[in-house]
Amino acid sequence: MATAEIAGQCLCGEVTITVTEPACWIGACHCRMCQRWSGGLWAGFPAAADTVTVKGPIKSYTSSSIATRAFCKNCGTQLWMRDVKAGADYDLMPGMFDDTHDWPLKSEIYHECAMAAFALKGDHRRASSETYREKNPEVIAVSDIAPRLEGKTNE
Amino acid sequence: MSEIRGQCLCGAVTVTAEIDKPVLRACHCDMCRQHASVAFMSIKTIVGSERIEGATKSYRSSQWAERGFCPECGSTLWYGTVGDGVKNFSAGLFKDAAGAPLVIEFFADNCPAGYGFSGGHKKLDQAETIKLFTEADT
Repeated sequence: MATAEIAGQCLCGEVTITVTEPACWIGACHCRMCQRWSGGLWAGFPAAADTVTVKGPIKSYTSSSIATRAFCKNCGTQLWMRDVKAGADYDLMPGMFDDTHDWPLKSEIYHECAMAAFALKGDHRRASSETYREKNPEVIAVSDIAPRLEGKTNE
Repeated sequence: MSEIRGQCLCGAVTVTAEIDKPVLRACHCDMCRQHASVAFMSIKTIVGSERIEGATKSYRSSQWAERGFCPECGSTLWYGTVGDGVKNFSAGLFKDAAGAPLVIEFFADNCPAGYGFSGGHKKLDQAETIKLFTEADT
C-alpha cells in the first residue's frame, strides 16, 4: 500500500522534512565513509527532489567530489546524502521518520566492508564494493578516499 | 591495555581512548535512531581515558545525556552521560570498531522490522533496558 506523505524531524525539532509518495524500502551502506559518519553502518531511502520539502537550519558537507551529507546545525541529527548534481535524488535517513519502522531492507552495498560486529541478518540483496562500482562508475574516482584517511590517523 | 585512535569523516576531530577488553553496544531507542538513522553503536573504553582533539559540538538531548558531533561534517562522535561525564565514542570512528564484538542491544524491541544484527549477543527490551540503567544510577 502506497504511503501518501510522511513527515519527520530531527532530534531538537528545528529541522522538519516531508516526503510525498516515498519508496517504502531502505538500503544500507558499509563503506568506510558511511561508517565514520554514522557510527558503523549507514541506511537511507531514496526520494526524488521534487517530493521532498525541508525546513530548518541545515549544514551540508561535501564528503567527496560526487556527494554531500547534510545534518542539523543545532543537534547534529543526520538528514541525508545526496549527489552534487543539480536536482539529484535525496537519500534520506529513516530514523527521523516513524513511518519507516516497518519498511523492508532491500539491499546492502559495500557488503564485504561491513564491520564484523554489525553484520545484518536477512535474505535481502547484497552487493560488494566491486559490483557497486561496476554499476556506478562515477564512484570509482572517490573510492580511495577512505583508505587515505585510515593512513592519516595511524589506526 | 592499548590505545585506539579514530577520526570523523572530514578529519577535523580526532579521538583516542584506552581499551582493555572493548565491547560494542547498540541502542535502538527512538532518540538514537532519530539522531544517526539506525541504531547508535558505541565502543566501551576505559572511563576517563577519552581524549578529543578538534572542534566539536554537543547537543543536550535529555536531562541525563548529550550527543557529540563534528560541526564541520556532521559525523556522530559520542553519547555522553552528563552526571558522570562519561563519553561513549561512536564505533564507526575506529577501524573495524577496534575489532570489538557486539555484546548487547538496548531497546531491542524497538529495532525496525527491516533489519537486525546477526549473532547471539544479549538483547534487552525497553523495560529491561530502563531497569538496567535505573538500577545503575542508584
